[in-house]
Amino acid sequence: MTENPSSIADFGNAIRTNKFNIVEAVETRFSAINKKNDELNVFLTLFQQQAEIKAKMLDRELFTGHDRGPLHGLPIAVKDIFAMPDYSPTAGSNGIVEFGRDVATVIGRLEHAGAIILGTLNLDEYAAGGTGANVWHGRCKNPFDPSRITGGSSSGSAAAVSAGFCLATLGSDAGGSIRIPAAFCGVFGLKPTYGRVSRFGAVPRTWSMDCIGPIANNIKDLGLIFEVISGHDRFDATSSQQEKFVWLEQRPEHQPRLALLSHPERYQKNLKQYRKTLLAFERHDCKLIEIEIPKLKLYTDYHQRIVKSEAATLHRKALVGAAPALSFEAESVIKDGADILAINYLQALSERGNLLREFVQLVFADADVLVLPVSLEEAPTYQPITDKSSNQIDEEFFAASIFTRFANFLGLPAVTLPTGIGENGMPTAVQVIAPPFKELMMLNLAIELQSKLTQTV
Amino acid sequence: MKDLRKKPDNPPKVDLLGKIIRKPAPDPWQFKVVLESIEIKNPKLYD
Repeated sequence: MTENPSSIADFGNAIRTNKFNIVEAVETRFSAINKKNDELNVFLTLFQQQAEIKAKMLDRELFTGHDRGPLHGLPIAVKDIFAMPDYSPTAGSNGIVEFGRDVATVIGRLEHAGAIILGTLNLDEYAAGGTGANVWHGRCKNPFDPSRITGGSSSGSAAAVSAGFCLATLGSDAGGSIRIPAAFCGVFGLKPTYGRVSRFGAVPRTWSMDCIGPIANNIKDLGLIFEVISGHDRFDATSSQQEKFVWLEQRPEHQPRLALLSHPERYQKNLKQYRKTLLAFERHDCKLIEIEIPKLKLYTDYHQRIVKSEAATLHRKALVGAAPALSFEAESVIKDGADILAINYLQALSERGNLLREFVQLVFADADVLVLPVSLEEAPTYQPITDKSSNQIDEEFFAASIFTRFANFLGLPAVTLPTGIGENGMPTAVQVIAPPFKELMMLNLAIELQSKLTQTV
Repeated sequence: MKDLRKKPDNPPKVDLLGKIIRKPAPDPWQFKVVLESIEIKNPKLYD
């Protein structure tokens, strides 16, 4: 057994100073997974044999002086939506999604950087949910308290890091699917700017808003993974040609200026932890700037038009019974999209650019970032939803996602920053949201904010 | 269903010569161009 490093840098130091080798690190991870996965239901598939072969190869490489960089030999895991060599993902469904011989760009980049994929992770069916409950594969449970939900749809991606199964995972975020489970499981999650990470070879939820991003134990690790997976990809038409992201830790030259909503209680009642966090930031010299975001509900409404229309299009065969069936829950979420008029869908897409310009001018005129709650303050206890109507499900998700969905509609980057433990003993978090392509500033500022929280404790 | 002719979001305007002019609706697929062209005018945190 090897001691468990808590960051990618610690892991790198350990394998380069022979505290343990990569084969031992991989064995330790599988041993932990095999002990606890039956209880938590985090992994759907394990690639133990392939991982051990790759670990031996990477140990040999390091021994002969071939060092691939910070991710060399790093055991990771990914949401079950990515095409891999000889593997088709389930996307949380009762079938598989065929990609032929294609390999997801992010998988290729991670493997080239030396990461070892231990297996694929549980998720809400077709990423169309926010609880981590999955009829076909079982409910993914929160490592902090298995009676509570993980949040979703990247349920396994957050739970795997939280449970200590691996140091980092990949998830995807179309309306909060990285940020919410990261918040509920007490880990860090990055939703990048739209277009900054290729979606080629990944099962879509909504092609106009999907973002792939990392979940990890700390901000620096998010930066290291993001550097590897981001960058232009000619196989994804929406992929951005902006300058490549390079992770670099920087101290800010002035105190952070944080925009916040003037009356967030209008949208959500219990925000005690959020208020407490803001006070801590203010006590440590952050400038707080209260703003109104009068179109917050409009952005969310437009988000829903787009995600529902595109999801119904993607699953049109299943909706008419010509493909493997959807569960009741997934069908409830997806079927309404078939009734959305084309002009309403196109109106939402048409106004997106102008609304983004207006939002940036309004929010980032004097502030570096926007700090908002992520979702409900703490992960709620799991309750089956089979007896609820689709309208009820919609309303509950609308309320709980008011602070996350708009960032997908506007294409903005955001990161979940854990802030402590709440009244019910579960993790709490805020999200830090930045202008497009300002991930480097946002992540560094999040490190600064985290240090202010630590000083408070 | 809402009758778009009664309450148009983009009402036609009549110019001095009496011609009806209508502002074209933005292209739904221009979002990426806008996203990549956003500039922040305030002093940057790390500049």
